[in-house]
Amino acid sequence: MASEPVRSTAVVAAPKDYSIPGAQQIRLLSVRASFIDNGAASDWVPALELLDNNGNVLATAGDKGVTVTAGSSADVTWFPGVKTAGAASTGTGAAWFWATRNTNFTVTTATPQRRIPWTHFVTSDPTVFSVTTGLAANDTVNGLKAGIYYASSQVSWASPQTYPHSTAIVTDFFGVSGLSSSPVSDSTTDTTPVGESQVIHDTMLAITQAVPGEISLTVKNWDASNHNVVQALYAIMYLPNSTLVT
Amino acid sequence: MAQPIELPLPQDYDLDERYVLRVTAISATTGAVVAGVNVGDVTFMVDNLTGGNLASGTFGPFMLVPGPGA
Repeated sequence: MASEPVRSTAVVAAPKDYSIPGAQQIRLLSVRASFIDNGAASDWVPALELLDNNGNVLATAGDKGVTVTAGSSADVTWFPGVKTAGAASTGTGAAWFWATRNTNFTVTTATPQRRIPWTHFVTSDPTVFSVTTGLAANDTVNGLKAGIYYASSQVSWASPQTYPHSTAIVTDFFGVSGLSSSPVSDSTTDTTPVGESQVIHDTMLAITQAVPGEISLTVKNWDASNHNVVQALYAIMYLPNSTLVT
Repeated sequence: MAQPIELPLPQDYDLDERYVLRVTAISATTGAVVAGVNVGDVTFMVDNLTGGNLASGTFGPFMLVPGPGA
């Protein structure tokens, strides 16, 4: 007995059905399907249903823990023996975000407070974090799912740091900063008493009241001259929780 | 780029004539079809137990017509 593919490339609104021809019998080995978003009304679960010749559903192969966010597309493969890791594949578990910038970023007096435009960013789960463009490319970090976000940042301004400058994490969520803003993150000194160039920090514990929302890193040049940020590092931890704060 | 997903498939299902394989997008809470999702390229890998022409099967969507004995 030979295995063979049965294929259709036509694009239709879900569901897409294949009816086994008369006098034929098959054993199903695997299925692959492309799902294309066309303005999905809500998040959805890809599913394969097997129906008998009376329309009775014999089996539904899907996992409610494997959810595709509305607006996203998915290529789905069903085959025996797959152990669903719903949290890993759909971002319903913990997730992280990491971003860096190691090239000069000039903060001018014309726009003294700016989001950091990231030159490198990665995430364990793109259904939890996204990066979009505001005033500059890749300067806005977004949290896409309900839960708890803990963000931590580190910024270095150009030396000599003889000008007032600061950094702050900003968010649409309900957030509380974990560090005092002065003197650690707001400095007019060049070096610490032991002669080291000063790095400034901020942290933010944020709880979602609605999603999606922004959680970005900003810097502010309080001086009358332009100055450069020479390095910025940003890490965010996400813990899922579906209850929105009110 | 589309998100890749792998899901388990029930094993050892021998499916007879007029049975239907349905690829769909459903709500995780109600099981109802979610509007606004299209299904494009679909490939079923099967063992052809009777050796006939499986390409003559129809792809929907279409209304199911109850078979004999319904």
